[in-house]
Amino acid sequence: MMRDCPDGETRDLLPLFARGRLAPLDQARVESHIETCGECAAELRLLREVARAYDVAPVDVSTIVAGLPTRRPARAGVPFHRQPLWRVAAGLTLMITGAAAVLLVRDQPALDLGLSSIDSLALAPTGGGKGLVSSVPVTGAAAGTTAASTDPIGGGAPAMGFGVSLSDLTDAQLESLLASLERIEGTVLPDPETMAKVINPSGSDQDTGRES
Amino acid sequence: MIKDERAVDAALIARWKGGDQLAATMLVERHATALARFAASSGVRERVDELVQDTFVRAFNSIDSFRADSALRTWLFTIMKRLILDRMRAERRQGVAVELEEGHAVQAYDALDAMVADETAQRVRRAVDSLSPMQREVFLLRVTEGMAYGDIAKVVGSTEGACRVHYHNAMRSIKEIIGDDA
Ligand SMILES: [Zn+2]
Repeated sequence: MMRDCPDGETRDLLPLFARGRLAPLDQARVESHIETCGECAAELRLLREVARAYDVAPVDVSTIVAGLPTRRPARAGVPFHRQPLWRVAAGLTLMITGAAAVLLVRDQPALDLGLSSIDSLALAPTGGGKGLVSSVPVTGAAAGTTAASTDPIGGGAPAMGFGVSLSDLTDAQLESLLASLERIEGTVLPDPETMAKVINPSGSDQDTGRES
Repeated sequence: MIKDERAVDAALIARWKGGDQLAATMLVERHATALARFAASSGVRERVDELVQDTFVRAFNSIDSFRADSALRTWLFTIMKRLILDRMRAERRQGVAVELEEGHAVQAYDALDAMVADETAQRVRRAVDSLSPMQREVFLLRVTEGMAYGDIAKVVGSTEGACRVHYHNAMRSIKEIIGDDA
């Protein structure tokens, strides 16, 4: 039986660390803890095995994009990527992603499970830096970057069809779950009136996200 | 502190609203694989790519109602979950057998064993499948996506505190089952 690390706060952050989801300082702090903690190192290996067991083949991005609705510009103005706020956001993201990438790369040799593919997958969908950099100035090339695999997700993806979490609900449970989703549904429906206040590109008032 | 991806998503959404279709491509690139993973770990066996596509179409069609106080990925997961439940209900009405009968899981393992040579992955999946549905959903969102408890709570319809408890109970069970030889 694996033992639990007495540092519950750090232990709780291990899944986020494994996926590169922590802010750089916390990412570094957890990494240095793991270097001296056998319990956390073992738990991290286990977490990475779980993540690997549920990984899927990359999705064909181009097919999905082809089916999306298009949006006409509401009004002419300064191109978004020329706006100062956008430049700051892009720069910050690049820095943060870069730092996280360095930490992840440093982390690799300590692991014995051939996990580099997991980490690159973890970075690809969340690491906005790559896509943003290639899009300023806008080029058509970015569209194909992660669409490299045209393998339909069903084909050869080992993760298919194993979970039973939703399908083992009874009819009554399913109906009640659907009912409980109605309020979320309410936020999904279009509401043009509220458009102006929806998006706050600065992100300044969001996600203080302290995890403990 | 959790790395904040929201500013990036918000900027891309604003660009798409301004008519930049490439921004849509980048949003799909950022979240499509996570959505496919979520579908697969929710028990979706077929037409996962179609489900991912439907989720994005629905999201883009109602993007004006997206509140930036929620992470975009969390919002996408809630949309997909709704679609999964809708599909499941439709299949049941059509009489498609989706109920888990006794022995169904074993057959699934057998089918997968033939496909997947990786014994470790099989062992892990069996352990995870032994969890309760709620424990499993919370655990997988935490481990495969690295999501904060607050975001997980929005997807599973629970509270942050309850999700933390579910995660740690799940972790304890997993360790008991496979921890010894992990
Ligand atoms: Zn520790």
